[in-house]
Amino acid sequence: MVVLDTSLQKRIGEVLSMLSYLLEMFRQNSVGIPLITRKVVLYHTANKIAYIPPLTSLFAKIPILNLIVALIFWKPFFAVLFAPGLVCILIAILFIIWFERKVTARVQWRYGPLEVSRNVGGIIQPMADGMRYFFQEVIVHREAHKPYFLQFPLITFLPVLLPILVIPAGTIYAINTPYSILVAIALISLIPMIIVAIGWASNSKYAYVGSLREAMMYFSYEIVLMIAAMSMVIIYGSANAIEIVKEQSTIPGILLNPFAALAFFVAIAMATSRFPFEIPEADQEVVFGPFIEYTGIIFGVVMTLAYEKLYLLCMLFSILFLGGWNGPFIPPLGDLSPALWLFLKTIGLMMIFVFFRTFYARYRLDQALKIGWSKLMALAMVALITGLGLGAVNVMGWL
Amino acid sequence: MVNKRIKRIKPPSPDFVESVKYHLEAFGVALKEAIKPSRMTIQYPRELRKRPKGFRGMLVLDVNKCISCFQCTFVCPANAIHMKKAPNGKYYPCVDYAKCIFCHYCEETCTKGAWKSTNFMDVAFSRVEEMLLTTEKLINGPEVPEEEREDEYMVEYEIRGSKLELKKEYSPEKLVEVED
Amino acid sequence: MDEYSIPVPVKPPAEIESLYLPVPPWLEEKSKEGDELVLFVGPQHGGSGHMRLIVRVHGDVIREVIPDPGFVHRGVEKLAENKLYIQNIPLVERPAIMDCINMSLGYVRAIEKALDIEVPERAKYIRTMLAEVCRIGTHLYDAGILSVFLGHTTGFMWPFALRELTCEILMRVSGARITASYVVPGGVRRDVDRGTLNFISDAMTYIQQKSKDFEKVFIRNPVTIARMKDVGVLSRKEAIKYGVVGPFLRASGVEYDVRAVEPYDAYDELTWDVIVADDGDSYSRFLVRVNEIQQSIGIVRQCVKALKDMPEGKIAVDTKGKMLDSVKGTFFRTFGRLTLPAGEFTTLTEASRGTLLYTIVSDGKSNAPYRLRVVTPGWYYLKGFMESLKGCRLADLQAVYGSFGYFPPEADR
Repeated sequence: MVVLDTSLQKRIGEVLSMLSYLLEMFRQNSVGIPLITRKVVLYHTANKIAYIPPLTSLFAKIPILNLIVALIFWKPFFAVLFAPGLVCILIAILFIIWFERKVTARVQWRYGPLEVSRNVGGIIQPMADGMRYFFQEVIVHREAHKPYFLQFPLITFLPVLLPILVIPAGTIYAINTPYSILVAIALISLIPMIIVAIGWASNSKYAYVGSLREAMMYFSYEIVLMIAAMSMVIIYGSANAIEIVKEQSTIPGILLNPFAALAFFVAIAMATSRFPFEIPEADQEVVFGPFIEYTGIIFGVVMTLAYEKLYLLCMLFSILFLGGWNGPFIPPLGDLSPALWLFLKTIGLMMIFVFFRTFYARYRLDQALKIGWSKLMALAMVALITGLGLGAVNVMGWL
Repeated sequence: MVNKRIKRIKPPSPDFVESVKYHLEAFGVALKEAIKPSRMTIQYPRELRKRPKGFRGMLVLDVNKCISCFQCTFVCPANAIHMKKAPNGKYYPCVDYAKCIFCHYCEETCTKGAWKSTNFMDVAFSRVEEMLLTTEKLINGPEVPEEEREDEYMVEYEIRGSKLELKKEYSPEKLVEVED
Repeated sequence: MDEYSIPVPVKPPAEIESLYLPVPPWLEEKSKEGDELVLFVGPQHGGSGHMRLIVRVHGDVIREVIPDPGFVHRGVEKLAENKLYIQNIPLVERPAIMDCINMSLGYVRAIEKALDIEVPERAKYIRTMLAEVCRIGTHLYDAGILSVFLGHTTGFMWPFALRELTCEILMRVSGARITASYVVPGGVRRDVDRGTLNFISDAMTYIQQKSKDFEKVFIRNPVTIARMKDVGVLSRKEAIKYGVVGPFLRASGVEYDVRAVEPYDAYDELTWDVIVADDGDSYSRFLVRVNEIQQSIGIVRQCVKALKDMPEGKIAVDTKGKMLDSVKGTFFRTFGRLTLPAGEFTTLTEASRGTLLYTIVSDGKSNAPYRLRVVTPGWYYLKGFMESLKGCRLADLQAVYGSFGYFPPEADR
């Protein structure tokens, strides 16, 4: 038996107590999914009961592993990692890229990607594309500002992933603040600025024209987006996402204020370069705009940027207008059930936006600006007035 | 102008209501096609297209009919036919498929009908030297080994009324057919 | 990324350095004074064909566009001097290959004019029918290119799928999908049978049916109308002054169609309308061509009906006037050693994109043309195309390019 020094013993004791305090903190705020954490009964006869043993009880006795498992199931960590975080974004992007190519192929009298996994309709094609990007060479051309050229596409992940912290999915949330919707919209509006910086760092004529277009489009949709979101916040009386969804348990927001829904809808199409507003990355006019000089894995990163922004904005739309995570409760999933409903509504909305590709051409830049500032602004003003009226009604307790 | 009518057309300029109607019509057409697509893709190489009679494909020579008159060499627009001397003293043609444009002037020029067309046009060789087909290779025609065949069906377009259908039938045993 | 320099003991010739920036020397100074950006919409670009356009743009407004054609120049006129008259037919149909019958029709009619041959009735109707089928194919091709320039991918796939049927028609009639080489001096090479004629009329019905869907999804789409209306306007005077031809001239209000003014083949026995519009903007040019597709479908149906009533056979005449039922077996003896009398022979044809001019100069003794002069419609209206771009925005370059349907291989020959 090894006898240790008393000071070392004290330090080890301190570390152990800190670890057990952490374990206690994780266990208190843990995600409850009955399928994994509790026994699920399969069938019972007179003498025997057959059940699925819970996964987490396997690790409950091992010293370091139970800490890691408790950390994974700790709510803030789970929110960022799984739902609505990185894993959900990955599934959403893989599905929506495949769906876009398939549905445009169906309308265009052809088949779409079918060769990679023929039996399931080619669904792992986006993964095959991603793997291909890993093998391509990343070319940095001579005139580029080297550090900015390579770093900016990675910095864009910051304003894309930070809103995940404040947007809850049912009871899984990282930070519960009374300003969650405002923080999310403010962070999302940082993304176009970094895209403009990407175009400037490429130091090429077409990238410059593309950055100008991105800046112009930013002017046209941002204010409308904020006014539409504000009018809904005024109706519900608070900017906390959990309160908003609770208020929508009887009537979803889209029936309360359809003008705001329409304005927000068109503003999302403008914000994420969906047809008919696919102007900064026009393939035939400015040869993919600010992203013209990117190859290899960095090109893969910037390609998915627009889809991540679409995912976030569609999640906000479903929280504000479609009743968020309200839906029938599925007992085996426990805490994951509202998250599943939110995910399904988001994916459904993304599918509608992606369908616009099939039958719309592209507007010109000044036509899009005109629409943003004349028709959309009028619609947003009407939405704001409706919101003010309904908000006053709500305060007086009639809703 | 020789007894022709002139039809003046006017482009549409829709107002707001008509504009909304046109948007919805476009959306309706796309939705209808998405639900029930009218595809007309032929999925090469699993499905091959059925060639009609008289298709101008790769050439096959019938040596017994050739009388070495050199007329096919004279008429070829791309200078793809050369004549080589055979051991029996006569000259016989060989075709350079790097130059042939499949116009089949040679087939229609031959007075004895020695050139025949096949229904095969997949001109693929591994090396450039193989593209000059000698007379022996022209007698047999293009050959596709059995283990390199990937096709299962032959597809033909058939239009009935206002519906386009792809009529599929199983691939024949021999891929290359010589036409008379 | 490291750069390595390899010492090579060769100096590049001076032409390479001087050709590096293919602009006239005064362009750089003028653009710096006027605060303009010089953009190259070049051969490798998603939004141009195989041609370089040098665009001087001030902010978002185009000041001037200088074309740099010749990227796909293949020397058709020079090549034709070394081939027999009959061997030139596959050569001259290559510039605008989807329009093959019209391109070779002009050349063959020049030879027939020189030798004073009268083509039999059945051959005239077959030629007219296939020329209109090629016209439908070309108009669909250009509609597809216009759609993809505007970003409308469905509008690109559908016309090309419909054009697949015209390629199938050409394959059943002549044996090859697009390089038909079917028209010879004196008639055509093969006969059509009843089954093929039935297929042709069925295909026309299908194309007519699907054009209605295409109209709803692309032509009447308000985004397309907003993008192409009042863009790239050429008034009637300007169109005549700059020498614009074909449907683009008719879209500016001038009533001129070569098939109606100087009819050839069977055109004076058929009834169709000449489509004219008055606005002169991109949308009118596009709409004129779309309506011409419908008129061509009508002409093809009349030809099919007339061909079904005629007896089969009798599809070509040789130089002495003898009627032939088929050219198989006698091709070289009939057409190979043609010699035209001395002189200059010119024909005008209405190709899909405009007026096509052929001139053969012959010295009376040789069996190859002394000089062949080809002027394609793309070369005629290039100046009008460049002039219509002045004052447009940068994004309109693609819309106007697509509405003209400029095809660089045809213009460069």
